[in-house]
Amino acid sequence: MNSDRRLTRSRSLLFIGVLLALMVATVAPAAAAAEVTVDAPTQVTVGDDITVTAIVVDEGEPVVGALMNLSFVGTTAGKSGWAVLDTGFTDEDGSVTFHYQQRALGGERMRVEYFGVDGQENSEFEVQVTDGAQLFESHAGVDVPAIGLWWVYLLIALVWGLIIYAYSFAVRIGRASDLEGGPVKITPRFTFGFVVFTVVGMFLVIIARPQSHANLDPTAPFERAPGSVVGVDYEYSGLGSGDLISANGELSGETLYVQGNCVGCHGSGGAGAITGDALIGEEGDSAPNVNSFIEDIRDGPKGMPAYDEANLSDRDVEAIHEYLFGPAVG
Amino acid sequence: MEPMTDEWEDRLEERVLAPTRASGRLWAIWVASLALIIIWGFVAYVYQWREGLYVTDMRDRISWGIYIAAFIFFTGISMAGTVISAILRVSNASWRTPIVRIAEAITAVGLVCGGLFIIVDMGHPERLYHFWINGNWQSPLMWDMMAITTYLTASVMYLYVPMIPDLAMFRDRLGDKVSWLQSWLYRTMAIGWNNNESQRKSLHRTVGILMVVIIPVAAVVHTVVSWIFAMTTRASWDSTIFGLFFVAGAIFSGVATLIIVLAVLRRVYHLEEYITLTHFKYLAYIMASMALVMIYSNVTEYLVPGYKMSEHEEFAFRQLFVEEFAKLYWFYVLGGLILPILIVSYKKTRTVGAFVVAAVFVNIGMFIERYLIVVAGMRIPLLSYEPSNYSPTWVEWSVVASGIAGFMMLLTLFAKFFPILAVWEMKEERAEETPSEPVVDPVDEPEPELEVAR
Repeated sequence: MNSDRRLTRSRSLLFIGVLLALMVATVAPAAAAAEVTVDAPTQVTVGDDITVTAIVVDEGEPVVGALMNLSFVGTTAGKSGWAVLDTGFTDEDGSVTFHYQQRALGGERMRVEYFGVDGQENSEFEVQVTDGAQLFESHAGVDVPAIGLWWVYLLIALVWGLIIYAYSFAVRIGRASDLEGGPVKITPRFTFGFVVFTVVGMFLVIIARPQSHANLDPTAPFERAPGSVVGVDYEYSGLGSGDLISANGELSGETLYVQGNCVGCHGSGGAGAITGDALIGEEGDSAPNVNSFIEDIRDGPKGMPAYDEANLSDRDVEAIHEYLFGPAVG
Repeated sequence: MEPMTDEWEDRLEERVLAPTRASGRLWAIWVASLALIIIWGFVAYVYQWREGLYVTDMRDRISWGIYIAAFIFFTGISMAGTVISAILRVSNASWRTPIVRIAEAITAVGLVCGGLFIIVDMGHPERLYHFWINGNWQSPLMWDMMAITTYLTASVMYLYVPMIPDLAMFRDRLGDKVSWLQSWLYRTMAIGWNNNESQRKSLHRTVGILMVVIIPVAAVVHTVVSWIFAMTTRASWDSTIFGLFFVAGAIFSGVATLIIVLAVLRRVYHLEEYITLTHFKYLAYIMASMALVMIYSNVTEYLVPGYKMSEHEEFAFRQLFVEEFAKLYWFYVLGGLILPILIVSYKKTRTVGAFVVAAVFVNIGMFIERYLIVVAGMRIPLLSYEPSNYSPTWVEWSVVASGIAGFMMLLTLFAKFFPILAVWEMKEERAEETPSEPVVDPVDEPEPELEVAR
């Protein structure tokens, strides 16, 4: 019994020894490491599409077909760590190209990771982000084919159709009366009256459509807490055309863009949002004509509230135009 | 069961006609005091109209207050008619017949009161028409408007159409015994009903279509009401369960309100023969099971964001569970959710009185819950500013009190001038259940299903 146990123990020791020897043998050659050379811009702007290239050389020879990562230090929920931006394989020159879009402001600590036969080799570098606003995850408004407001109209029409259908049976109750004096006329009369009232009422309301919505008394805004929006401190007089009074050129285009609540629909800097179209186009697109811009603001196209002179003077609109598209050329 | 006899029919009709005849001094005092509260609220509202919403405590940081809470509360109550009347009618549950009319009346009245609070909250009521002119389909408020208009139309019809035969009964039996105005009202509203085959067919058709339409519309209404919150990126509103949660809450408070109204009308107009303890029990069971759904929804609503616990959620939970709103919140949980379940669970407390107590607690709890959703949600600062506080001013309290009084007043007047029991449906059902051969031995044995009211 005892001899058996001793034999087992010595066999185990031998096994562990062999394992240790194998591990040492595997780790030791890592001293001769591959060399990763990175070519990356040092200064970028938010929104730039950035290309980083790296070349991997091992003992003078380019490493072909190696898996490479481009990573940056990402922070989520208070925890930081390396997060992969792009992945690629080296070509016959040992070179790999990564692409990413710069989304945040501030310095970026980055590295290129090479997974060679001898283990992982990292080459760290830093990129300075100098300008631009934070870019968010994605643009709002996914265009799903066949999904649109028409389905809502259809549903409402269906429900109201059913209600009117049910109503028609109620009318029949009156018509089927055997009482003296014939059927009671009140239901059809009421229906007729209701329809006329609604149609005429709607028509009157539509022809009386005011220039700007909720424009109750533009000369008497509510006093609310003073607010500070985009740089300038001013007494907050409410958002939207309702309480807006023309500053007649006294406020900057940016302030007016926020105060007039253009930002509510057209997004920060005119980039567009769920409700409103993007106002600024791609780089290189020409800015819209100032006069047609003013005209649009006066008319309020596509369901946009119209702003009259009392809300935003021509000078104000010009300031907004300049803020969005830069100084007018010529 | 007592067979369908002329004597039974006469007694039923007499019971239903009774409110239109006698109205004692108590009734007058009740109506007068309600009228006073309504007038007081109207005065407060006119003051608000003149001075602007500045006279409320709603400001830029907490811009929705007790008005919106009242709006949700009343819209929720309106679920009563749908659940009891439409769902039970679709599922052919025969116990519903004596209580459907009252449930449907609560629906219509609740919606009217709820809708008025939107207008009150707008400040200037004429802003309402901007909804139709500048309405933006991307706004949940627009959906809300659309859904509530549809629901109100459908539920007023659903109240009125099944009432036609009973209005005809009123016309025939009260014709020259009441004032000419009342008599004209019954004659007009009965639209010449004389119970012929074709009329009966049309009536069943209308009711059949409406009861099917009204259930999904009600679900949509309460979901959309929740979406005016859930569609914003505000912590504690940003929740996918809100739609379901609001539908459940609406059924919950709707049934509770129905229990209270039924108990009052039963007592005042001596309807004990028709509205029995069994009805209260069934309604209380629905109420208790809805309390369980509410607890489940609450747990889901808190656990999912709580597990990830963003900064805003942490603030929301802290103010709700231990700080500013803790008292209200725990009252809602213990009084509004747990207590009704306990009352319904114990056999000894299954009495009309105890159910009414439970229902009152449910309604108070649900009002608080609505208030917490609105105000506590608004209080969470999304930017780095000091969280501001909100406490309703006298104007707001007055208008809300007048809304509640208005709700009671409309129901009081309805019960006074209109048939509060669906007489023709009860007769029809009684006729179906009564065997064609008269019962030989009508021994006075208590009916096993229908318990005698306590």
